[in-house]
Amino acid sequence: MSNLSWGRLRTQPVQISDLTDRNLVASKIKGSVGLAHGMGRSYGDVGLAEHIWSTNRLNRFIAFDASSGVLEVEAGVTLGEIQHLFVNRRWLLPVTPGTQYVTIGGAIANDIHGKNHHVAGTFGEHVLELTLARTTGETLTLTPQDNLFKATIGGLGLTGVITSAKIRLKPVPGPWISSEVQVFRNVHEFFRLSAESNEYEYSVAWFDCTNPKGRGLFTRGNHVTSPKHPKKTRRLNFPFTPPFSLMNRFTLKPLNTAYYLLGKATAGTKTVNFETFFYPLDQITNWNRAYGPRGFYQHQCVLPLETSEAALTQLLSVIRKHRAGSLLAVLKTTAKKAAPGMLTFPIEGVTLALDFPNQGPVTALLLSELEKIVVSHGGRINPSKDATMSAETFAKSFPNYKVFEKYRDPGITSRFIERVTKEKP
Amino acid sequence: MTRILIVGATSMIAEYTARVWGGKEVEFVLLAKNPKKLEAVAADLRVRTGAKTEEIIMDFTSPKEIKATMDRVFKQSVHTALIAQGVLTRQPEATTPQAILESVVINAASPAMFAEVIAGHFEKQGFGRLGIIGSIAGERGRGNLYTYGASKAFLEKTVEGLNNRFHGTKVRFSIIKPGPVATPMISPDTQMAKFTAKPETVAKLIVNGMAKGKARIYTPRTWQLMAVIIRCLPDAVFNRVKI
Repeated sequence: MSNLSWGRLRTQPVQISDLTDRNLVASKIKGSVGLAHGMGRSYGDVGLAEHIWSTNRLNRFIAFDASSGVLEVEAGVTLGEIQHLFVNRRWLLPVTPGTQYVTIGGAIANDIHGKNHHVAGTFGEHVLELTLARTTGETLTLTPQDNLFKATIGGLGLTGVITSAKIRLKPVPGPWISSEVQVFRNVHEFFRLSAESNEYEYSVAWFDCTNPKGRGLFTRGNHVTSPKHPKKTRRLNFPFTPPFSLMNRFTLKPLNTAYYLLGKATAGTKTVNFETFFYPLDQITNWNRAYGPRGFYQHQCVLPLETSEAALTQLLSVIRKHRAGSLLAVLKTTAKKAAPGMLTFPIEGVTLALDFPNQGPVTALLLSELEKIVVSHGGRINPSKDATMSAETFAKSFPNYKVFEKYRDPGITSRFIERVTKEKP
Repeated sequence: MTRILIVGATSMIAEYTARVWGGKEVEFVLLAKNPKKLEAVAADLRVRTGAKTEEIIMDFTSPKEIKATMDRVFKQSVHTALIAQGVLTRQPEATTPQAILESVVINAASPAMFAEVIAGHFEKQGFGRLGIIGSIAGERGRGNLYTYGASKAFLEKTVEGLNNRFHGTKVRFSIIKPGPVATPMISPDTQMAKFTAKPETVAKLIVNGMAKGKARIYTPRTWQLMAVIIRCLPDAVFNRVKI
């Protein structure tokens, strides 16, 4: 069942049943135990349980108001479907993560954020209403004033099954984004570039974590009009799982260097399609197979602004000490925004994301060292990506969980929540 | 404006096929039994494709109602029609006379009645394309699926006969034979996944096949070869293997 979580880590078998009719979800799940599951793009175990209810067939559009941009959809509609259908009508989603292959239900349950967090906050801020089916058999329509709504935004699917939602789309001039890539030589320069990029709606950075200084490429962009015609994007497929991870001690340094030099050589301003800008990794279907049969971990943390530079330096030195590294290494500043959900992940500061091939206990040790540094600086780890965080860390970094717990659906559980709320033996 | 008639519009294959057909210049006439389900499908097509929709709730087993509804729908010409209703009945669950009757009525008699009335109207208007959802289960009587399989085989022969009758005209009939459809229940990493097709893929094959006027449409195409093999197996072998 390695395809059910994006990190492809081996887990216990999972039983799946399909949800197909939004009006019948509550009666179908009544009295049973399980968890809603969408596209399986969460890296760790947040989307896994013994029994999962797939929302992939719950993928109907319900209504669209072209004057206000309010779109109502079922929870299994993917962000990509919305982007492609609405970009020609000059609307796009107000917030999108680095992949378009996630469902609306998943975007809400993980209260995802994207390259425009400093402007638009998290996805949950743009949800006007949602319908929640509970294993008690009831179906509730919730608005932002409701506490259960606040629990459901970023609630990791634990408050019920989201069956539909109303979202406010954002008017855009078209599919084009003016994308500017700048080279930075160290972490300090990254912070300077971030501070200078407030007039850019989108910003994100890739950095070379095998480089002692943390050189990298800073990308920022704004929507623009362009007379260009969108080209059909070509998709490559990673056709099979190699017997070992292609990202390893021998390849990481040359790959990072090559990526950096290529970026440096092509740096500058270009007008690109929104897909190229938002979803570079989606151009390679099944790219997660590159990590081999044992899968990989993603570590994503957010560090508070005051301590972020020191914490980052410390994190990078631990990674180098372990002679580990990642080709995907992403930095992004997050702004002070009111969190729409009780368990919303981003706080004001910097988020860091890194992928590590699963090499057993060695990787587990590395992740736990990173975790300690994050916690000691007042940061937190993203549950949507996590597969290893300890119960102490979760309790410390998500103190709101105590309040949240009251709103949980008694029939819903996940491997993640069982792991991070386990009582100490 | 292209008018497309879909009988059994809430079936999964019909719904995904309609999404491919849909567009600003399309008007759907959608027939189903369950009003709430039909409205959800129709609203999706309107928002997703910009098409117009007309929804009709009716009893698919009443000959009178079928005739009256089709006569009304065909007051304006219909370019394309799809018949998609069906219920999967399996043995040994369905072995009572009542279960057999119900299965044959919805899987064989109902589509054949619709097909006949629609064919009559196509003859009058001088053109039209009709697709009927059959099944790979119609190739050979299988121990756990023979009533269903026989009904689908009956539909295949009906389509053959209609094509024979309308040869040389602008009216065409297609029997659509889906293999197992990929659902999240079938993991894409397993062997089984090679023989399944996503509903989106099935839909595209139906739309393309009907546009070309193909008499038989296999979805996925690999099942065309499988069908030949299954048909050619001698009884002595076929009865020993459980497929």
